[in-house]
Amino acid sequence: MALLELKGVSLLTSGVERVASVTASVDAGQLVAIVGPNGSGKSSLLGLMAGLLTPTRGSVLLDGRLVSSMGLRELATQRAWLGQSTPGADNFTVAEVLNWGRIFAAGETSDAQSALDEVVEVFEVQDLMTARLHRLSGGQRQRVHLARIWLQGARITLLDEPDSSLDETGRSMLRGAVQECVRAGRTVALVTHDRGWAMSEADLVWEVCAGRIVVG
Amino acid sequence: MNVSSGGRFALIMMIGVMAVGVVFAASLVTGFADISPQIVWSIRAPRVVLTLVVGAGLAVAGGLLQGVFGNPLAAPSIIGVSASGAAGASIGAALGIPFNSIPLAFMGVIIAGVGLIVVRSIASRDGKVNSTALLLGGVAISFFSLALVLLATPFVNREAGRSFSFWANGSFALATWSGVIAVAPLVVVGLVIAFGIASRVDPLSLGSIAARALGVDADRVTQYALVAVVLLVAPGVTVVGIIAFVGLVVPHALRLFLGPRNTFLLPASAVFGALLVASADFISRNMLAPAEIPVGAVTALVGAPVFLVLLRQMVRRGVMST
Repeated sequence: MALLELKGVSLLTSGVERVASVTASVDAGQLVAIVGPNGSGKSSLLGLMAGLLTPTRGSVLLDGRLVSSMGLRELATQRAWLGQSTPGADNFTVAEVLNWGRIFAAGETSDAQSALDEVVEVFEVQDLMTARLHRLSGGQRQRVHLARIWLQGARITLLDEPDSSLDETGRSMLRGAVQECVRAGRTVALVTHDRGWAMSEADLVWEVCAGRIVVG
Repeated sequence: MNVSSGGRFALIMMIGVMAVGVVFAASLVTGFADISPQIVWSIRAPRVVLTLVVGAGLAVAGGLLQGVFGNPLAAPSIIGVSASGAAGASIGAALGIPFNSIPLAFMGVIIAGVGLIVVRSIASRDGKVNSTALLLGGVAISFFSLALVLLATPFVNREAGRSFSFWANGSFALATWSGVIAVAPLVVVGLVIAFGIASRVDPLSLGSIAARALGVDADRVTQYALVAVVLLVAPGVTVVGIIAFVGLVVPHALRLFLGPRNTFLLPASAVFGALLVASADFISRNMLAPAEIPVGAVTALVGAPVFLVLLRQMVRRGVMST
């Protein structure tokens, strides 16, 4: 059974149809790349998959259940989402921000510390733990936010242009982390402009144009 | 990390509580030629207790507003909550509701709530609050509210002693035990709500959508926070008028020592807000004794320069849009 299903999903905002009758599904363990020109509706589609936007028509199902019927807290244990911006989070330290993924979504678990150690190493943020997030560069912040949502321990991770503020080293680290995630049985859907990455590594590539998946 | 910040919090709380004790005792007994227990109990004690309650409420409200709006300049007197509370009290008094009473405290709560809803609605777009609009909206609401105070004042019994200056600058001179009873329970409810949501205010610094993705209902947390702010501020205003800048200065000063975590910041703000207002009232009574200067003037002398420094920092960091 598909982990995530979109059934005739449309989104209308301010009279503009951002997503138009999309029907698609993602199986557990798959890596899905969503590509397409700016303004084509990729981020809106990802927001609908995350349950952060409410479809005007159609339905989104996670593990056979309507996303709209799930509470925010429960949803956070099932799916993680990272938007395009890399907020500075006031004056909080990296360690405090990473902790939120555990406190609010994953909950206190016995292996929380080992999960943290692992994620900190994968995203190479061990030297940043006591730094104030807003003082870091865009790329460093992006790594911290990726680590934060990874710590939610969600079954499906949704990333909106996660490579946009990363340099070449950061991008290769991201690709490694995504591969690692998929190998560990997690499901990832990401929006990217890097078609080379999408074509070479994704199990599915959804080409989005004018709110529709035209190839996928 | 947790041990050291927790230890710092405990130390600061201890220092604050001890300082509050010293100011409390000094405020009770200084300034009287004849310290009779009757005078201390009926005049001085309610005044000092009210400074603590009002100060705690104002400082926690400021910390909450800064947290939920992500705006370091947000404070009850700046975004219009205090002035609209004063308008509610003046209108209530003009309609015959007695001063220092529970009905007048509720009148302040209702009008301050309306003021806050208006400012937030004007400053919001797609669930996001614009910092500049929030402050400018607050200024407009404050002027409008003070105009209502001016209009209502002639209809209030002159013997009650509440001039326009009383509302605009604040004074504890007319505090009574009935005033304490009208204010304290509502402020306590506000504190319980504020401390209850404190940890969930932290992730709002990521923005409301990222907080929702993390499992925190940003809209609900903000709604609770606004209810708390009104309960923390408006009842006190109906008894002592507007005391500006407490909600701005105290949380900012504490952030330097405690960092931004609201589970530490808000309880510490309660203690140090109480300390600041009790100290300001002590100074207002004794600096030019036997004359008394308005307590709001004392807090503004400290708070306004702090506001300007913060504003300058925001402009430099590009937080304020042009």
